[in-house]
Order: sequence, then structure tokens, then C-alpha cells
Amino acid sequence: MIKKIIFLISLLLFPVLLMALSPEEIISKVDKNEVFTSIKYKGVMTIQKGDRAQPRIKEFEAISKGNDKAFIEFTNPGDKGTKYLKFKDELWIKGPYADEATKISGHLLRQNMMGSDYSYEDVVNNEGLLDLYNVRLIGKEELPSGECYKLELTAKVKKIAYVRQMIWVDAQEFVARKVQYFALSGQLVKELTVIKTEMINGKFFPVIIKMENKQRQNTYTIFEMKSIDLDIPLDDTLFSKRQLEK
Amino acid sequence: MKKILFTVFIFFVFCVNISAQINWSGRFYEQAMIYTGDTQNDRYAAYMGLSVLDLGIDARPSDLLRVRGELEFAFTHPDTTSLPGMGGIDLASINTLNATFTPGRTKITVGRFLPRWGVCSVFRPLDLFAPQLYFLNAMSFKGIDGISVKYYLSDLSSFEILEVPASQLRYGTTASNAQFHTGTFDYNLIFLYDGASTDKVLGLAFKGDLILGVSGELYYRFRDSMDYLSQDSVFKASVGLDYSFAKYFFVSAGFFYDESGKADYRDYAQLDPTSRMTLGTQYLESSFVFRSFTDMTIGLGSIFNLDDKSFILYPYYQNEIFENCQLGVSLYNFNGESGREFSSSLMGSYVFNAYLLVKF
Repeated sequence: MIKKIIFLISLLLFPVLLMALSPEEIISKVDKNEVFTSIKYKGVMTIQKGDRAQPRIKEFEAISKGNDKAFIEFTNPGDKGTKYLKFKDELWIKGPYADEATKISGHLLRQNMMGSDYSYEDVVNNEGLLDLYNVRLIGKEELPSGECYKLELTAKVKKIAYVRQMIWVDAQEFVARKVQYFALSGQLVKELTVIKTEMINGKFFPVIIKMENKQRQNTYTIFEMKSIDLDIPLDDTLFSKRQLEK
Repeated sequence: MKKILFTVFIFFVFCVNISAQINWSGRFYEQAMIYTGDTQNDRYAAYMGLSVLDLGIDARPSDLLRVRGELEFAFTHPDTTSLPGMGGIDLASINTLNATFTPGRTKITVGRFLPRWGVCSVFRPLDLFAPQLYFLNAMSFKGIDGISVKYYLSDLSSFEILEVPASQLRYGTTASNAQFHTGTFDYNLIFLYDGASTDKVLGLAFKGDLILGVSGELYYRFRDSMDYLSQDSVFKASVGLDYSFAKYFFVSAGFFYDESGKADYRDYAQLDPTSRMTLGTQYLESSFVFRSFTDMTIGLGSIFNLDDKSFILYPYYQNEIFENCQLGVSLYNFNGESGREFSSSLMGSYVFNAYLLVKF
């Protein structure tokens, strides 16, 4: 009799067990949505700092290919003509009044780009989370956007900007709805919130993101992507000094 | 060369007529300097101001052709003598006006342009075509009139030949710059032939990362022993290190050696101060910068003449008070006994400098 009961319970639980995702599977689905072979888009950063009356607006056009190559050109009036080229872990800049590109020291990749709450590493990084982090599922939590898986990510590589992250993944769309970034000290440094996603090439892709500086009051950057093309063929010559100095 | 500039100008007019994409931009720069000093126990204060309006034009009639120019309108107030190293302030000048063709891997630039091949932050001996002023916030300089052909050998390397043709006023100059990348470093191998003196200059510049940011320039001018006009051989070297930490802090330091300088300050009178940035042979420079999360920047810079022991300290402050509008103030403190390079005899012990920069 007992054996029959156990067998019946197992039959009931079997589909549930089948449907339960491992933390790695959850993050893998997030990577499938947010990681791309290439991207081309127009971006707008709205930068609010503390009590500043007016936010700063930075507009740019960006392309990126794989993990190693990215090219950004700013188009807003104050920075028009400023270009950045990322090649592996190195960065070059060409100012609007310069003829030659200048290499930027690698340690400056950790600095905020153009005064925003995004570092150069944040903006051009396209690596999958599973490549960089170990994942632990904490449970489920209800956010305004819907039910989310709550996961903890701890770095498994040494060279990384944030050693620990907390991430809330939409249980339906498998998009990271909220991410908290922690420093080595354990202090919460930044919090990212996805405001809007769009379906592009079968992926739920975040197109409006807010990055908040949790160490300062009323300090955040809203990052908006428009005219997005994902996984398109991009010539490697677009990621070169020739393009930078054109 | 005026014919070439005129041709480039015609190119620009052509671009306007075919409704090519034309972008205008500009900068307005207002600088005020107040300096104090003592003259026979009388203290004095003097004011010098500089207003500069830069207008930039950028036309792209096609993906292969680009016409660019920068017009500068500048005037000092009240009228003063020319600033050293800048050749005077013109009321209006064409700093750059050039056409760039980019067929395939080649970039051909014709007209007036300003090549800046130096990589260090303060002392840049390989900026062969640009004057250097480290204590005035001058915005830009007049370029050279010439032709440059640059061929991109790979994504990160190139070879450039530059020619400044001879004219009634000057001899021609030919230069080359081979740029390549290996490891985490950019390297530039530079050669210049000066038609006036028949001197040759060989240079090596490098910039990259060894945990710290590293930059350096080596300059050597060969004397032509067969030419009585040729100057003595000269070696110069500039090396710099930089690092940023804790997100908001940036430090840098550099060393500069110039064989053409004078180790004894009493020999400075043999040098022409208007044609060179420094008088001594050895210098140390350093900078410490704090940049707040609101993009306010506070820094402290210094330049030491290791020969005569004089130095400049300059704390400064910069802030973007409105979008595209930057305010900066700095205080230059000159220290050194009489006759030394940074002594207070020229402009007093303190020079207060303020500027407003508006970009549009």
C-alpha cells in the first residue's frame, strides 16, 4: 500500500520536477536573450546627478561584434565626433578636433563613460553570465513586472568588475528585470532596472534600462536603445583605427 | 599652398551646393589671467584676457570624401604682447581646412591639418608640428599646410607619409610615421627631414599598459656635419606613468630630459625662450586628480626643473556648470630664486587663471 502511495506521489511530482529549471538553465535563457553575435543601435543616455536641475543627455551610435569589438560615436552637440574603439581589453579614443586616435590606459576602462553611471566595461561588455559567474537560485519573488526567479551570482574569474550580483529574472520572458551589483567589500554599488523590453529576432531584449548609483542620492542613468539590429553581419574593418580616424 | 587651401575651400562650397551633409560645431572660450608680483618693493597686479571663438565645419558629400575646417577668431584684452610659443594671436585664422579621401585602406589628407604624434601628457617632444604650452589653456593651434598619405596595414597599424611643400617662405619638410600595435602597446616610429636645416629627426613613441599606464617618447636629431646651418645633435626623452583607483582618483607622473637645454641657469640667456617650451635639461611633472560623481574635477599639478630647483604648483578646479558649459579656475604658483626658469620675476609668484568653455 505504501509503495503504491509513493508511486502515485512520484507520478504527480514528475511533471513538476521536469519543469523546474536549474539556476544555470535560467541564466542560460537570459544569456540567449541578451547576448548577441553583433548589434547595431542608436543610444541615448540621460544622466541625472544628485540635485542637478537638468539631466545631461548623451546620444551615440554603437556597433558591437562578439566579445572583443565595439565602436561608439557620440552625436550630441557637446561631444559630436568623439569616438571610441574597443578591441579586446583595450580602448582608443579620437576627439572631434584630433586627427589621430589615442590609446587609453586600461585602468580607465573601469571609469564611468562620459559622466554616466555606466563604466566603459559596462557599455561594451557582451560576455555571457555563465562564463563569468557561479549561480545559485535563492527562490522566487514578485516584482511589479511579474514573478521573477531570484538568483545570486558570484564571480568565478578574477578579472571582473563586480564580484557578486543579485539578479531577478522574469519567469516568463527570461529577461533580467533587476540586477544589483556588489563591490568586493560587499557594499551595494549599483542597481539596474529594466524598464522596457522588445521582441527582436525572437529575443526579449531590454531596450530601456535604468542604472542607479546606490551610493548617491538621486543619481542614475537611463540607457535607451533605438533602431536596434541584432545578429547582423558586420565587417571587421568597422572596428579599426581606420574607422576611428575617418 | 594657398592654392591647395583655396581648392579645399572650393570643395567645401561644392559640398554646400550639392546639399551634402554639413555639420557645424563650435567652442567659445573665455580666459582671464591675473598675475601679481613685486617690483622694487611695489606690489602690482595685472590682467590679461583671451577670447576665442572656434567654428568647426564638417561636410561629407560621400562616404569617401570629407571636408573639414576650423576657423578661429581670437583676441586678447587688453592688448598684450604675443604669448610665447604661439607666434602671436591672430584676429582670425584658419586653423585647419582640409579634404580627406579614404579609398580602401588609404587616407589622403590635403590642405591644412595638425598632426600630433606625441603621446605623453605634458612633455611631448614628438609633437613635431604643434607648439606646446603647459601653463596656458590654449584651445588649438594653426596646422601645417601639406599632404598626408596614410595606409592602414591592419586594424591597429598604419604607415603615414607627410609632406609640407617648399614655398617662398620656407623649405619643405618630409616626415613619416609607422604605427603598429603589439601586446598592449601602441608604437610609433617617426622620421622627419627638415629641408631648411637638412637635419633629420628620428623618434620612437610608445603607449600601453603594464598594470599602470605607460607612455614614452624618444627623440633624436641628427646633425648634418656637411651643412654649416645644421644644429647640434640633440636627444630628448619623455616618460610617463598613470593610474586610476577607487573610481574617482587619477594620478600621473612623468620625467623629461632635453639635451638641448642648459643645466646651469646662468646659461639660459643663450637660449631663445620663444622657440622652446623649456630651458633646463631635466624635469619632473606630476598630477593628482579627484573627479566627483557630479563630474566636478579637483586636481593638483606640478612641474619641477631638476637643474635649477625651481617649480610650479597649480591646483585647479573644473566643473560642468551647465550642459556643454565648463568653468575652470587654477592658481599657478611660481617658485624659484631669481634667474631660475620658474622664478616669479616674469609674472609674479601667483597667476590666477579662470576660463569658461561653451561647446555648441
